[in-house]
Amino acid sequence: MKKIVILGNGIAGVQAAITIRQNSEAKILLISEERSVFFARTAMMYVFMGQLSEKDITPYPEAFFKANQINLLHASISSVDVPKNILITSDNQAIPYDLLLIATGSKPNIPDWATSKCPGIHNFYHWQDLTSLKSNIPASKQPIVIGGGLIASELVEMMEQLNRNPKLLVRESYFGQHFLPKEEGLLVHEVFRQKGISLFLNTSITSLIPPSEDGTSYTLNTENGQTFSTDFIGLGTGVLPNIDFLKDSPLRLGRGILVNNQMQTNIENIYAAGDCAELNSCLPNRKTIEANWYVAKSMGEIAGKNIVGNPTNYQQGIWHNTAKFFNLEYHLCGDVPLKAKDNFGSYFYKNSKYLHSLRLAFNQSTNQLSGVLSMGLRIDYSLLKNWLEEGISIEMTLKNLPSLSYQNKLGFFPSRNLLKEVKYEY
Amino acid sequence: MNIKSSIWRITLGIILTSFYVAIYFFPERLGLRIETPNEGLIGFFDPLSIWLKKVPASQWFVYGCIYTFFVLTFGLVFIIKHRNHSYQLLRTLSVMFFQLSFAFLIPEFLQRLNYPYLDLKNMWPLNYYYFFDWHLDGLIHSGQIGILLLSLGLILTFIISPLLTYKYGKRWYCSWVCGCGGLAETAGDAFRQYSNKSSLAWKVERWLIYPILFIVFLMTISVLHSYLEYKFIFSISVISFLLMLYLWITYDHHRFIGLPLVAKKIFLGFSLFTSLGLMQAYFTQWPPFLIDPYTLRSAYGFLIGSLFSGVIGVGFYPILGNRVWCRFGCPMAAILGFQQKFLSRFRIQSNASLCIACGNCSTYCEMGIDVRAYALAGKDIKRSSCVGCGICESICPRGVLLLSTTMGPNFQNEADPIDYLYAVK
Repeated sequence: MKKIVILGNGIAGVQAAITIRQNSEAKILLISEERSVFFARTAMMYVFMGQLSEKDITPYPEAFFKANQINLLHASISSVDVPKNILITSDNQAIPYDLLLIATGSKPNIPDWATSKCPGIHNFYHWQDLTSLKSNIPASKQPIVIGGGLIASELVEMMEQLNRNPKLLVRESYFGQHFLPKEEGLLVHEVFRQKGISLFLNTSITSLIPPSEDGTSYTLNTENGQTFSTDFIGLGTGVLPNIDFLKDSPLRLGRGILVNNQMQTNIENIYAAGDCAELNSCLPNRKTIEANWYVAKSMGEIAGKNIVGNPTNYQQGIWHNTAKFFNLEYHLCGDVPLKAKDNFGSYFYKNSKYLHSLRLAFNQSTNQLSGVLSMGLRIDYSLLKNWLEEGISIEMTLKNLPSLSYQNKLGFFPSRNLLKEVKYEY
Repeated sequence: MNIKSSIWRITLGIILTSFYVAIYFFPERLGLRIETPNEGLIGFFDPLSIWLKKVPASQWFVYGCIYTFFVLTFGLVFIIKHRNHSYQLLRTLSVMFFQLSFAFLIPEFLQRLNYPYLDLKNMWPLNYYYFFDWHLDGLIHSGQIGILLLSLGLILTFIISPLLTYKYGKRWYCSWVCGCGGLAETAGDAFRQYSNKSSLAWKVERWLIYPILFIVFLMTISVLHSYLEYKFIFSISVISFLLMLYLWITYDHHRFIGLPLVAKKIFLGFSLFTSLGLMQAYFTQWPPFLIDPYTLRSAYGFLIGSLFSGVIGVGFYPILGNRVWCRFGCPMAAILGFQQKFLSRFRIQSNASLCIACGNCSTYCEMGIDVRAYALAGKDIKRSSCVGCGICESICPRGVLLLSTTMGPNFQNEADPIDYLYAVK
C-alpha cells in the first residue's frame, strides 16, 4: 500500500487528504508543526474576540480523521531527503514516503527594518500568535498596526474591541491600494473613522529604535520624518511562501515551489499545493502565487486527484475573493481594474452613509462585463460566474441587476438607475 | 474562564428552573392566595390585573406579564444588536407584536368581556387542549364570537398554516409568530451557542419530537372520540387520513426521497395501532387504546405541557440552548418541520466556493444544525428543524448563506446527508 505524506494541515493539505481518501485506500499521514488538528486560520480573530471558541473553529473533529484513517502527526520537519524519499524531523527522525505533498502555506513577511527577535513585534498568522496576542494586546497602551490589508484590519479590530486606541500605519495613499479602487478604499476609511481608528497614510517605516534597557517603548521613524512611539507593533505586511526548509533540496524553487498545472513539482513523486506553490505559468492579469484560502482549497483538491492517479488540471478560472473589514464586507468576482485602464469602463454606485458600493467593470471594446466588486452588498457568485463565462454584455447585466443580489429581499440592493458610468479617479 | 462561565450557566439554569417549578406546581410560594388577597410576587401584579380584567392576578397572569416584559425588553436589545439587518429587525418586531397582542392583551380582554381566554395564534398541537371538550364547549357556548374564534383556529391550523409553510417554511410561525419562539429569540438569544451540534443530539431530537407528536395525536383523537356524537364517522375519517398519508409518503418517491425507510415503517405501525384502537372502541365498551382519555390528557399536560415545554423548555436555556423545547419537544414544530422538509420551497442556499470554515454559522445556530458542514460540502440546507431565524446568514462574514424560497433549476430534495457530513466514506 502506498504511503502518502502531506506536509502541512492547512486547508490545502486537509482538502487533499479528504480527496485522496474519497478515491483511495492509501495510507495518509498529515504532518503539522503548528497544531495537530486542522483549524480555520481565517477565524482566529473570532477566537481572540471571544465570539468563537477554539473548538468552534475546528471544522473536522479529531474523530473525523480517525474514522477516515488519516493519521495526524504533530512534528517539525527540517528537511526533505529527496533521493531517499524521506523527511527528516527536527529531532532527526526519518519519515519515509512514497508520495509527498508539500502544503506548508505561508509565513509572515517581515520588513527589513524589523527583526523578528524584537519582543514588541507581533504577527498574526500562526496558532501560536493567538496566545501571544491574547497576553500582549490587553496590556498594550499605544499599539500600532502596520499594513494595508485584511490582517492589518483584523489586528486593528481586535485592539479596538479592547479599547486600545490603535494607530494604523499604511504605506500607500489609501488602505487596500493593492486590491481596491480608491472609491472603495475610502469606504473602508469611513469604517475606520466610525470606529475611531487613527489612520496614517503614505507612512513608510524606515527604522525602528528598540527601547532603552529600562523602557518598553519603541520608536518608529518614517520616510517623511514622522516618529511614532509604541509598546506594541502588529505586522500585517503580507505573507511569503513557507519554503525555507527546502533550500538545499533538488526541488525547483522560485518564490514558491514551482509546480505544473497538475500540482506536480520537478520531482515526480512530490507535489505542492496552496500558498507555498508557484505555478509555472498563469493567465494574463493573474499571479503565479495567489495566497488565498479559496485557491488553496481548490489546489488541494486537484493535488489529491492527481496523487491518486486521476489526472486533473488546475485552472485559475474566474478570480473571486471575499473579506470583511469590521462590519464591511468585500466581494470581488472577475476582473475589476483598480485604476483607470485603457478599454475599461465601469458603472458605479456608492453610499458612504450606509456603507454600500457596487462596481460593474466592463470591456469597452467588446462591451462585455469583466467583473463585479461590491462592498457591504452580497452578490450571487454562482450566477455571476456563469454570466462571466458566457461573456454577458454590460447592458444585459444592468437589465438583470436585481438577480445579482444574494441577500434577503427585505434588504437593500441598488437598482439600475442608481448606477452611473464613472471614470476612475486616476 | 470556561469553568466560570459553566458555573454561571448552571446557577442561572437552576434559578430559572426553580421559578418554573414554583409557577407550575407551587404558586402559593409566589404569594397566590385563594381566600385572602394575594401576597408577594403575585400580589404585586394584582393592581394591573384588576385594571385590565377586574379580577385579582393568578400565577398565569403574572407569568404572562413577565413573559411579555422579557420578550419586549430583550427584543429591543436584539433589534439594537442587529439593526443593520432588515430581516432580523422585522422578524423581531413581529414576535414582539404577536406576544403583546395575540398572546397577552387580546386573551386578557376576551376574558374581561366574559369570553373564553384564547391565544388565537396558538395552534393545535402546540395548544394541545384546543380539541378538549371544555375548550370546545367554552367556545361553542360563547355565541357567535366563540364560533368565529373556533372557526378561525381551525382555518389557521388546517389551511393557512400549510399554505404559509409551503411558501416560506416553518419560520413564518416558529421565528415570526410563536410565543415560545418569541421568548427564545429575544431573552434566549444570549444562549443560542449552547445548543448541542453533535449528530447524536440530532438523533435524540428525531427520536423525541415525532413520538411526542404521535402521543398528542392519540390523545386528541381519544378525547374527540369521547366528545363527538358521530364516533363511527370520526373513526373512519381518522383511519382514512392515516392510510392516505401512508400511501402518499410510500409512493411519491420523488417528493419523499429523504424520508428514511424506518420512518415509513414506524408511521405504518403507528397508523395500524391507531386504527386498531379506534376499531376496538367501536366493537367494545372500552375507550380507544384502552386508556381513559382523561388520564391520558392529564398525563400529557403534566409531563409535556408543564414539565417539558415550561420547566425544561425555558429553565434549561443556559444549559442546552434557547430552543430546547422547539428542538426536542414541540409537536407543532414536528408537523411544520415535516412540511418544511418535504412540502415547502424554503431552504438555505450555500455557496461552498466562498466558505472559509470559520464556524460562526454552526456555533450560533440555535437548533444545533451544523451549517458549516453543509456549506463546506456545497450542499443547500433543508432541515426540518431549521426555524429560519436567519442568524447564520447575518453572521456569516463572507456572504455564503442565503435564506431562500426559490427552487433553483438544479435544486433536488436530497436525503439528509447525516453520514455524508460526518465521514468522507
